[in-house]
Amino acid sequence: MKEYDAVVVGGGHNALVTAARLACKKWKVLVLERRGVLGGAASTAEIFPGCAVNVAAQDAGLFPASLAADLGLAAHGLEWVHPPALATSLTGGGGAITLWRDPARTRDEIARHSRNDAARFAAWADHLRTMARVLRVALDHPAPALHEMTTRERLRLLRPLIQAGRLGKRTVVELLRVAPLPARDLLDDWFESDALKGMLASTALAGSRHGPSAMAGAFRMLYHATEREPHGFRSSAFVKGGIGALSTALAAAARKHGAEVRTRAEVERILVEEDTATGVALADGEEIAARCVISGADPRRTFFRLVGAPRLGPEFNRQVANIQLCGTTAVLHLLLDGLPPLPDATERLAGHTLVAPTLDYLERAGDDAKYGRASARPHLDMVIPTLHDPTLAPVGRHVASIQIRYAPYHLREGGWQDDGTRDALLASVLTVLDDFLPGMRDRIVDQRLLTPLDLETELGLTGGDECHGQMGLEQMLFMRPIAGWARYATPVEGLFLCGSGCHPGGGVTGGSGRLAAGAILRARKQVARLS
Amino acid sequence: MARKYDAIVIGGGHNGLVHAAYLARAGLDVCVLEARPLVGGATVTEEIFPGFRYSVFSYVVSLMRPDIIRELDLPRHGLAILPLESTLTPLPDGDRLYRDADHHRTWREIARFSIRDAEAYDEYGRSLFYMARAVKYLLGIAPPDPARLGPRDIRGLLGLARHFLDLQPDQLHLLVKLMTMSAADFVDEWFETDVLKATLSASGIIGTFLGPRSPGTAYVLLHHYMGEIDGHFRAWGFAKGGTGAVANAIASAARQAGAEIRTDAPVARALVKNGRVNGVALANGDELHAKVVSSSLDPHRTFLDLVDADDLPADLVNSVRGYRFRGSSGKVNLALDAAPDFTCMPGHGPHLRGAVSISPSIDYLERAYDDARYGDFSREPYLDIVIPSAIDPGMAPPGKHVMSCFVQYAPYELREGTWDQKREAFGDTVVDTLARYVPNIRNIILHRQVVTPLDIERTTGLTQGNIFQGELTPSQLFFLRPAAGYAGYRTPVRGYYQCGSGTHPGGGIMGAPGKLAAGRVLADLGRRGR
Repeated sequence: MKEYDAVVVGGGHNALVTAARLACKKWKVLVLERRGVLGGAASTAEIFPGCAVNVAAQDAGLFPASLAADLGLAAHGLEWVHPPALATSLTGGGGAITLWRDPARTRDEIARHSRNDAARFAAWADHLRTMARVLRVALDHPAPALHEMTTRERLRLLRPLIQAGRLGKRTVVELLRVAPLPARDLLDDWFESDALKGMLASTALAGSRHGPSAMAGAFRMLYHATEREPHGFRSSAFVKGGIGALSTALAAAARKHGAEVRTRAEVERILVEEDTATGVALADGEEIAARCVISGADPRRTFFRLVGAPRLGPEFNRQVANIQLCGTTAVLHLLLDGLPPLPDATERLAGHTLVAPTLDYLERAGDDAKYGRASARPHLDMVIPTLHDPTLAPVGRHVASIQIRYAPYHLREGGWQDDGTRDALLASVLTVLDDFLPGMRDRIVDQRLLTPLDLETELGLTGGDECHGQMGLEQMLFMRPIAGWARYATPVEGLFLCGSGCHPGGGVTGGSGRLAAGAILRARKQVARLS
Repeated sequence: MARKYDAIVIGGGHNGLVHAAYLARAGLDVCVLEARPLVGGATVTEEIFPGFRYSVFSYVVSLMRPDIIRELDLPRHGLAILPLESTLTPLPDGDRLYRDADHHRTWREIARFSIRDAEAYDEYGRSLFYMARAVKYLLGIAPPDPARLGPRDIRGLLGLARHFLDLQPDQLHLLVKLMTMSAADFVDEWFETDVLKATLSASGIIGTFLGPRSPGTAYVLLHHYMGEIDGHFRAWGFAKGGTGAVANAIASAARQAGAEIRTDAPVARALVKNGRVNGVALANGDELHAKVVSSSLDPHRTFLDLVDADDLPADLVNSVRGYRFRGSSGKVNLALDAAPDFTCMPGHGPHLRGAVSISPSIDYLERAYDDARYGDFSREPYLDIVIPSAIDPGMAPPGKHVMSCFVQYAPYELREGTWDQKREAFGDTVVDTLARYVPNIRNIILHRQVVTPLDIERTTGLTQGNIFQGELTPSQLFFLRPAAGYAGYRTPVRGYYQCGSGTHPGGGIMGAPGKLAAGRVLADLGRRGR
C-alpha cells in the first residue's frame, strides 16, 4: 500500500490551496473529492444542458492576487474578469443604482439619489479601505493562540501588531469601534439615501443569519472590502470559465508539483489509532494510509461524521456542537433566453445585481428568518456570468444565479424536502423579480433551486452554511472554529483542518488553506526535530 | 455675587453625588447643582400619590460598588438593601417558572421543564460568577487610551493584558463569547427550556435597543450579573425607601464631608475661557466659580449643551453626535388597593417579594423588539416587575401596594404620533399585558403613573430617555465610552471633567464612574483621596 505524506479530504478551493502549498514543499499529497467536479462550493457544473453554472459561490474577488501569483495559477488558465459595474441595486419600478468601478461615474450615479451622499462617498470609501487594511493584517496572519504560545510565536505576533500600528493607532482604535457596529448604524452615520444604504448593507448579510441592525455587520462589510477595490464595497472579481476554473487551476498547480487529485472518491471515515490519524477510508471500502490527514470539510462534519464524536471528549464535543452554523442562503439558477429589459442591461447587470432597496426591506427579510421562515420578500444577489463569458452557455442563452436570503436551513414548519416549501420560496423570488426587474420572468427557460438542504447534501455543507460557521465576532480569530483550536491542529494528532470554518473564515479567499499549510509545515518540522 | 468653590458638580444623580462625596472627602470645597427640587436624578423616590411612594425611574439595586458603600459608610447614612427573594416568570397557560434561593426547590422547578437544564443551571451560575469576577476588574480602573499610548496608557494596557491572560483559557474564551454573542445564543449553549432561556436573556436586553437574538446582548447580561450585595453575587436588592434612599444616603455622606448640595439650581452652561473652565452659569443667570467643573450629565449634554462646540475639537463633537442613546424603555408605576393575585401562584407568597418577569419565550421578547424596531411600542411588552411595598411596607399605606413595571420596548422615536399622544395607550398595553397573568389587576389599580422615554428625558434630562446615558454596546464601552480618545474622564477643556454613566464603566446604580472620575480630578490636582 502506498503511503502519502498527506491526504486532503475534500477538493474545495481551500483544500486545493493547502494541497498545492504542501506539494510545492515536496510532500506526497493526495486530494480526495467526493463529487465529479472540483471546487466544492466554488465549483462550476453543467446544471443546464450545455451550460457551465457556478453552483454556489460566484465571486472570487477576495482571492488574493499574490496567492494566485505564488501558485502560478495564470499558467494554468486562470483569467480574471473585472466588469465595469461592481453592483447594481434595483430600487423597484425599474429603477436602479449602480456602483461602477470608475469612481467619477459612481459619484454621478449616487448624485441622482442624493447629492450629499455623492459628496461623502469618496471619504467613506477611504475610511473603509483604511480600516480594511488593518483588518487584513489580522486576517492574513495566523490567529493568536493566546495561551499556548511559545516565546518565538509571541515574537512572531509582534509583526502584525507593528504592521497594524504603522497604519495608525487611531485607525486601529477606530476599527475596534466600527467593527462591532450594525451595518445600519454605520451607514446611517454617513448616508441618507435608502437605496445606497440598502446596497452597501448587502455585504453585511452574507455569512450571518442576522439583519442589518445586528451587531458586527460592519465587520462583515470590512471583511468583504479590500484596499484593491475603490469603493470600500465588496471586492469583486469573476473568473473566465466560471469559478470552477479557479479550482481546476489550483488542482493543476498541485498536480504540477506531484500531488494526486482524485474525484468521485468519497471519504467516509478518517482512520484514527491511539488518538493519531493514520489515513482515511473511502466509501467503496478502500483504505489509504497517510502521515497526516487534512480536512477541508467543515468542522462539525469533520469531527462528528468523519472522526466520530466518541474519540474527542465531552468538552470538545460541546464546543463543536455549539458552532453557529447559519445556512440562510438558497441558490436559484435560471436559464434565460435573453436579458431582462433594463436600460444598459449588458453593462449594469454584469456585476452583482441586488434586491436590497432599503435597510427596512432587508430587516423584514431577516425577521422572517428569525422565526424560522423563509423570507416572503427575500434579499437577492444575482450574477449573470454569461455576460462576461458568453462561452458558458449556448449562443443566445444566459445563465443567472441568484443567492436568496433568507432561506433558513432550520424551518419551524415543514422542511426543505417538501415540494410545497420549495415552491413557495420559488414563488416569492419570482414575485420579487417581477417587482424589481419586470420582464425577467418571461426570459426564464429553465430553473433549478438549491435549498440550504440541497447545499448540505450536494456540497457537504453542514447546516447549509457556505462559510462553514457564522461570520460573527464570536467565531473569529482565535475563536474560529472553536476556542483554543484556531491553529488548524485538532485533538487528533496528525489531523488538521484547512477549510473556511477556520480562521480567517468564509468566502473564496484561500486564506484558511494558505495558513493551514503553513501551520502543518511548521508542526511537521517540530515533529521531525523532536524525533 | 459669584461664590467661589474648588469644584462644582453638575447634576445631583447618584454618580454626581458619589463624585462630590469623594472630592469633599479629599478636602475640596464642593458644590453640587441639581436642577430638580430633589437629588437623585433617575435614582429618586417620589410620592406621586398620597401615601404611595414610587421609585419613579429605576427600581432595583445591585450594581452599587461595595467599596463605595464601605468608604462612604452609606449604611450609616440610611442605606439598607433588602434582597429580592425570587424570580417568577408566569406563562400564558397558567404555568410558571419560579426560582429562588432555595437550591432544591429551584432545581425541582426547572426539572419540571428539563432535567438537563436543572443540572446545567448551577454550572451556568458558576460560569457567570467567574466571568463577572473577571470583568469586575474593569469596574475599578480608568480606561487606558490605546491611541495615545502615554506611560499611563501603556501601564493600563499591560495590566489589562496580564489580568485577562491570567484567566484560564476556557474562561477567557467564554468571556469573548459574552462580549460578542447574543444573549439568546449564549444561554442556548446551556439550556433547552424556552421560558428559562427567555428569562435569563431578558437581563441582556434591559436598557438596550436590541433583541435577545441580537449579538452584543450577552454582554449586557453579564453587566447585570456584576451586582453584589453584602458579598453575594448577582443578588438583586431593593433599597429600603426606594432607590431615592440610595441617592439620599450618598448625599448625606457628601454633606457630612462638607459638600454643599443645591437643588432647584439648573445649570445653563459651563463657563469656558481660553480653553479652561472657570465655573458655571445657572439658568437664573447666577454665576458660580470653580477651577474644576465635573458634569455628571450624559455626553450629549456635557459636550453639546453645556459648552460651546467651538471650544472642543471637531473629532469629539462628531463622535458625541454619533454616540447612541436610543432610549428603549418606559415605566408604569401602579398604586394598588390590594396585593396582585397571579394565576400561576395565587395569593400571597415569597414571589411577591421578588422580581416578576414577563418573558414567557424568546420569540415573545423578539417580537416585542420587532415592534420597536419599526417605531412603535411593543404590543406585548417585556415587563420586569417588582412590588416594593411587599418588601418594604413603608412604600404604601397599610394593606395597599405599589407595583413598579419596567417596560420594554418603548422606543424614544416613534414612527407615528408623539409620546404625549400615546402615553395612555402605552399604559393600557402594559395593564392589558399584566391582566393576562394577574386577573385582578384592573380591579385593584388606584392610580397609574406612565413614564415614557420622553418623560424620562424631560424630567431627568437623560437624552432620549436612555437610562444608561448611552447604549452599552461594544462600540461605546471602555476606552470608547463616550468617545475614542476621551474616555479618561478629562475633557479637552482644562478643568472640565465628566463623571456620569456615559463614561466607563457605564450605567446602572453603580457609582463607579463618579468615583473613578474623582480619582482623576484629585490626581490632576495632586491630591490624594481619602
